[in-house]
Amino acid sequence: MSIVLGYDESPGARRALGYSIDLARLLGDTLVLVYADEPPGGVRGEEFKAHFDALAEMGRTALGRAVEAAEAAGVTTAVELVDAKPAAALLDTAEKYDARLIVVGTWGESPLRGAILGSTPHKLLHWSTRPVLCVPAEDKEAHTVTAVENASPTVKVAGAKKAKKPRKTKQGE
Amino acid sequence: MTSVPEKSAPAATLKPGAIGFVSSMVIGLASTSPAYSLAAVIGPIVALVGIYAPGALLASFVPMLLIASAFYYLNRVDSDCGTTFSWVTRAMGPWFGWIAGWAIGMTGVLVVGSLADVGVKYFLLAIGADDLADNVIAVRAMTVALILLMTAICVIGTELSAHVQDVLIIAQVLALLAFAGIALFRALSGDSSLDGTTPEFSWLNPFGAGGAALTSALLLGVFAYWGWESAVNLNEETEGSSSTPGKAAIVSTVVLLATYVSVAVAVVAYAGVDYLVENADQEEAIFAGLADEVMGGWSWVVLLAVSTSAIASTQTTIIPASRTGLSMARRAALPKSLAHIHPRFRTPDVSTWLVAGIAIGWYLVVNAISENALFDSLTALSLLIAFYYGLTGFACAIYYRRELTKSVKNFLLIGAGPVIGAILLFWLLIESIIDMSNPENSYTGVAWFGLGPPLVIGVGIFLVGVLFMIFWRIHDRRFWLERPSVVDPALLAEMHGADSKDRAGDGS
Repeated sequence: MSIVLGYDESPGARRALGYSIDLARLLGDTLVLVYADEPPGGVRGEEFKAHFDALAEMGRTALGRAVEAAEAAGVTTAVELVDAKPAAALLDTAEKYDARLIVVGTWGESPLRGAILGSTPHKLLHWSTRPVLCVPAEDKEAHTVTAVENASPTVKVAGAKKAKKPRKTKQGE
Repeated sequence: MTSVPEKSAPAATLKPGAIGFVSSMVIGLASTSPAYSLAAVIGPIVALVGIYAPGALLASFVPMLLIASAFYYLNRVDSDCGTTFSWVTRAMGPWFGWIAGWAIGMTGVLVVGSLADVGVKYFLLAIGADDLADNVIAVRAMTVALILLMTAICVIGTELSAHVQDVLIIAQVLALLAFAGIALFRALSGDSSLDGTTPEFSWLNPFGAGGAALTSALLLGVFAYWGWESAVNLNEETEGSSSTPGKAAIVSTVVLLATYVSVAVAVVAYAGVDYLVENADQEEAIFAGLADEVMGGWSWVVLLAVSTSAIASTQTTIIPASRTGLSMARRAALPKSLAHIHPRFRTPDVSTWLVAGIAIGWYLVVNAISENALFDSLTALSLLIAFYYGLTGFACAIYYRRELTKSVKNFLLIGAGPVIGAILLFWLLIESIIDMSNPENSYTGVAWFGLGPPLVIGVGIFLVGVLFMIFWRIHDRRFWLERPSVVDPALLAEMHGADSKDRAGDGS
């Protein structure tokens, strides 16, 4: 079996990575890291490729760090950079790997804000036929951290390990 | 193609089978936003060439068609939805590429104000708030608010569902055809409320008018077809790619031409040239006035069509303009901050807001200083459009130069066609510059520095671009290390065998 994680270096996704690594290790699952790189705004119009490349670059960086963190924790990983919108990418990948669980980080937005801005966790909860685990960021302040910020791999590993400890107590929140 | 480590999915292939016949046809129509284009140019064109307006609209399609062939072939070899900036850089080197990117970006930026303005005015007219539509301050405030709103939508990355877009564009075209049909019927039955005339075939003669008026009208015609090339570009991704896309492109083109020509004929037949010339100073409002005359209580159908067309176009114009900024910044041709991607929305937010900022500034300035803001900026935009379309035409032949002699088809479609289109556009450009350098030929007769205002605007934008380019070349020469190249023959052979099925991910 496997666990599919939507990973974009958003604050929620970093914490979700920690949980996913722990779960994958406990269950002996493969951790499938997914980044969706289809640009919003459609393919109509010029220089679509530049936008696409920029996203793919962000995805590669993000996934590269996540893979390092997961492998440092001894978890087998697979990586998927998918040309689709995030929710569709996660559902397709979960189908492909027959995942037992889809994990995503949330942005901790209000329901209305999420509805207006478009929320991947929200879409997943409605569309997915598999269990979905939504992981919020640690605290409100973490929301302002930008996703492309340079965090060294060691920090990421440490962060992943830290997230492991409070898992049992926080699972019910 | 990007090579993505740790992943085997092919990078930039667009999803095959993503677009069906209707959508494919709709893209061809939507990209030109016919209702807005007609509302914007029909008044000035008729004022310039009178009864020969339909002919001028037909004639300006010819260079468009030839340049679309260049877009089609460049898109195939560079099958990444790059565009003029990328292609011209590859074919003709960084200097030409940079200025082409500047032209394409600025046309996108500068038209946004006009789009939003028309969207607001026609919406107010459609809901019967005519007083508000005449209130300059209110219209400007609402236009700025609309630009900000549409930019926010672009940054958030929200998209109207494809079906809603399809319905909107088809409704627009039907509204325009209904307008043309009713106007023609009433003109022919002698029921016109204005000075109606009977249409004649000679109206289709593009050279009927001749002289400075004709070149100005043809230039506006180019503006009316601006964007049509994207109908050709997306063909690879349509369902059943051998027959569907071709048919859709042909059908959308026929529908577009029929709409433009029939509306032009209907307008002239219903209102007569005198009325149109007298009311030419009303700019885009002239179309609204005609809608009232022709359709009476049903004019809101046409007004709403124009409004939705213009508002939808603001979004489809902001996105490409911001992506051009992103693309140039990623290749170090513009400041790096323009390549910033918003982590939450995954859109180029800095570039998008900059587009909005310039668009708003431009809109307010040009409306404050020009008596015929819309006409002047559209004509200036048309100069820039002719410039970058022309460059694209030459770039196609240059980039493919080793392939041109390999078959007659190659020679005609990749070489001769685009080059003739480019020459036509540059001829139009030069003729227009000569004409506009004499302000008496301009449609208002106003002079700035002894020149026609559109020329001053067009040349001004171009010069700002050149200065910025030189500054940037001195500041950061990385982009200028890119070298021109030719089409890679291997890529041409490979293009047909591309398939995007192998998406197996593997561990690392």
